[in-house]
Amino acid sequence: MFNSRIAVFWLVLFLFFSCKKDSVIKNEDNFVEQPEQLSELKAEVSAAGYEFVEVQWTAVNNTHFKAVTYSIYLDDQKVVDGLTTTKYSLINLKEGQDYAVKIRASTKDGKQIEQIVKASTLSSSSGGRIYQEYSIHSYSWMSGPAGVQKLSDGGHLIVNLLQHPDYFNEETFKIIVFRTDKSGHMLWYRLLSSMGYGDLQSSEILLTTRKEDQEGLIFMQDYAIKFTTTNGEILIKKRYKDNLNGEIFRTIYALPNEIIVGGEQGSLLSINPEDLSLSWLHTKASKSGLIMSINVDSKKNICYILRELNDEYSKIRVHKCNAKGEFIKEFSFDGALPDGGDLGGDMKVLLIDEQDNFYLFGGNSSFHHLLYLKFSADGKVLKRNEQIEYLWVRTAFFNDKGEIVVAGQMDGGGLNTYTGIYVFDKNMIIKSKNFYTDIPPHQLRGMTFNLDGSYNLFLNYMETYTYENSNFVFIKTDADGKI
Amino acid sequence: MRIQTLFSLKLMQMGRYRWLMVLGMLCTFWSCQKNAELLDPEINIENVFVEFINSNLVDINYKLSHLGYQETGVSYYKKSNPTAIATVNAVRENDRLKLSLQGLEANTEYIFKVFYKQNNEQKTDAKEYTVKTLSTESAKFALEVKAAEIHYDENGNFTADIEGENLNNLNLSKLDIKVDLKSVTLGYPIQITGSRYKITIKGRVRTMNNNYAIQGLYEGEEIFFQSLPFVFDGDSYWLTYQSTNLHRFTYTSVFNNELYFFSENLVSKWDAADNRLVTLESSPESIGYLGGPGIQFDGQLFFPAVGKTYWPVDDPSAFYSYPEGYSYVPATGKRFVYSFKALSFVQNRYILNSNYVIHKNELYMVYSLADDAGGYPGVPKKADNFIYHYNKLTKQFEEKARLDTEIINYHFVSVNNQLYLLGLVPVYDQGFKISATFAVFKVDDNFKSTEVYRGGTVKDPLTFFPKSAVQYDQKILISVAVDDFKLFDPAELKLYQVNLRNGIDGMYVGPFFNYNNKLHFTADAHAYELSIVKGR
Repeated sequence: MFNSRIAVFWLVLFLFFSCKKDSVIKNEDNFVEQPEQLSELKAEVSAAGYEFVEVQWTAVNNTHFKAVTYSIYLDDQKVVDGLTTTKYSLINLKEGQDYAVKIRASTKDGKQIEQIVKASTLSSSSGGRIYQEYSIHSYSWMSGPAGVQKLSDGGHLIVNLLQHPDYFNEETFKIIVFRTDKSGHMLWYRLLSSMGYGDLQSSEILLTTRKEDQEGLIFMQDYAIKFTTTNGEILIKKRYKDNLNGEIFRTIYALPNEIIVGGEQGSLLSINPEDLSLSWLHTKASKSGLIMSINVDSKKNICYILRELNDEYSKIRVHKCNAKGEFIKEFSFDGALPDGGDLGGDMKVLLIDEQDNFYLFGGNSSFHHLLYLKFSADGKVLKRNEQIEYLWVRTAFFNDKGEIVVAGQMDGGGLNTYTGIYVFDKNMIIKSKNFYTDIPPHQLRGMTFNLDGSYNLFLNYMETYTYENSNFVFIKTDADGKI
Repeated sequence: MRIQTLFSLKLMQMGRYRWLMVLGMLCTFWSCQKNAELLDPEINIENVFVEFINSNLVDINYKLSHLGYQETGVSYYKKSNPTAIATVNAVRENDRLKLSLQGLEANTEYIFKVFYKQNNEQKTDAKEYTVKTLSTESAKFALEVKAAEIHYDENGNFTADIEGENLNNLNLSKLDIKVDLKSVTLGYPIQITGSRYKITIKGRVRTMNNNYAIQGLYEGEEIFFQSLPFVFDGDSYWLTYQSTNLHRFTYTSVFNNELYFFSENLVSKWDAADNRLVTLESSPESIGYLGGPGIQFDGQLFFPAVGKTYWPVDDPSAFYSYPEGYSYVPATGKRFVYSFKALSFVQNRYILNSNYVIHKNELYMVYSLADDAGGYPGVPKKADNFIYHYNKLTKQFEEKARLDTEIINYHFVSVNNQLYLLGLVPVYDQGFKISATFAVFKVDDNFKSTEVYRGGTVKDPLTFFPKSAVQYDQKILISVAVDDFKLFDPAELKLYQVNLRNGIDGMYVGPFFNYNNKLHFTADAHAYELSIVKGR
């Protein structure tokens, strides 16, 4: 009995285990294979120049985590492959040309996606930043302050001194005038006159145009040159040595039918631009001194900054004459800062607005301090700087918004100097400051502006042990004044 | 007797050691003479090149003009920390001294000066050089030109490969490569292996073997700097010089293949057999201040005209000057003077370009009488250029012509019975003389000149100052400096730069002279024999 019970037990146990063996665990592959895909490619032209276009695109990912690289085709010709960045420039292109740029993202095993974008290089008729260097000869260089005049077609006339080695007893300076188009390309240059070191009493070159930019007029030292702006050919050249008794020109103001000229010893002249004849001359029109800047008010009075030789450094004088140059009155101010933090300095530029408010800009050359002053037609001070700003003023003008743009030189210590531009509103509140420290140390030689807010800067780089570039440089900034 | 014996003994002892005493005295004598004659050379630091820059290393090489330095190197410091000065000694490879400033900080300006030690005294060059290491950001591209030199063609065109890491990722519109400060054309990066790429650059340099700097600027920041030799790719002329043991003298005159040396009133001759100088005569009759070596003609040595000033004894203030040439007859020791008193001047004029040329077996003397520009050094002068013919019968010079072309630093050379005039002529731009360029003229028997070669362009003239010119292998060899020789081929009307096989230790190149059928020249008065071959 006991034995049969044991046998049943074993039988049940056997049956139990034999049943369990039958329930095998499933081993089915339920994984749904995702199709290998690339994420979307979005490409665009991010920048363009005269000879390049830059394209950029969104990074493309592979659903299978495979490495994606990019190939670039220019008009169906492969330029580069294996790129891992998402930005690329196509170079050595033609100016003003349309191109098709294909960006292809691919994996090693051939999965790929592509997009074509249309791109165009800039042409001279398109806007944008411009950089040009001018070199006339391998051995000559343009130096000193330049006369710069913007023309109605967007190009410029530039007058400068060209210095060259002197092997044959000929003076080492030439007055050079050259014309550029709106893209800064030099259209022609003309050497106008020869000068030696001894002839150079002042490096001021004064330039204006007339007859709808058909004629240019240069005033320098004690003579004037009229030339055609189509090729620089001299029309008339006249010297005023006998009239000036050794005095030389310092500043001009161009009116439609006369050029008012201020001299370095206080002479005021009116010159007929047709034949360069002298209409009138007042030797020491008001007092003996240096006429720094001339402007004309709404009543056609001629006003100018006068720096008397024996004045305190902080003394500011503005003289007003009638249209014939006859002295009417003087406005004088103390230019030193109220807290004594500055000793004053020469006021260099005089601007007058429609309400005959006067704006003066200048400063202290030793410390590159910017000084400014606004006074009303009756001589009441409306605004002056109360703290020190740093800029050695070279030029100032009203822009098309009625703001005042003041440009000059910043001192970075040693040979490091660069352009600074302050923009003031009419209340003489500083709206912006721009300093061009991204380019090598340089001297600003001239400046004009464009209606889009961009500036045209003309400059020379400073030569140092490590940097030698004596070319004359033109930079058109972006609309925000940046380069 | 005893005294005599002792004395005799002493003599005997002296006799035994006499040779020793004589030797000792000779040694003393020669050592004294050596001390008196041998001066330490004035060492100049030349051709300082910054060869390579990366983020932590600057390679520099330079030359020293003379031997005699014990050690040399550079001292340098970080511009922001001028007190922490370090020095690195240079090693010498061929004639150049090389060193590396290592372990520098990235994107940092360093100032260095070259020094050398002479007679245990350290002398440091006053000139400072500033270098800036590259940023570590730019170092990731690790740009480098692998080639040891870059070849240019006869127009100066060259291509070079710049290798680096991940160059495919460079935004090329922001990359500017400059060679000798001029931007070159870039190609697209081409893969070499893995992440390594190369960019081929194309540009143009002046056709002169020289070291030029290659700079890479990325977004205005310098990311690459290397200077490399640019070498003409083709057959060119190679000058090999050999130092001689000839007497050191500024002007060596050759007469019947014997070397003569003239100072004011001393005539010496080189004894080639004994390698020594023999003084022939010392005469109170001065041959005058020498304007150059003598040239052999008509049994004489003719010396270039110089300015002679006459001071009247009774009134020295009434002095005047005039050009005067000289000749010397080696056979007799006689001297002759050729005065041009008709051209007397009181002051503010002086003599330039004084020389002789032998053409079709006739001797011509040339010189310029130039105006002093009135105390402006370096400012050129207006000059009258005279040509005289030597009359073998009268033994006098007769005015033949005046130069009919405006030319400075000129020389006449006769090749194959054709006379050539070479020098610097004005470069005109819009009617103004604004530079000078090298030109060669054919000159007829009446000294009318016709231009046959003009180097360079108005924009880029070929301006160099010929020091001496001589006929060499149917061509005209021109020396400009100790390391600058040019060869004008009248048959091709082409000017070639002559490369130097070996560097030369000297500062001032002197005139050529022919001796033992070999052309020689002097550098710092040391005579060298030269030969020129065409090849690679």
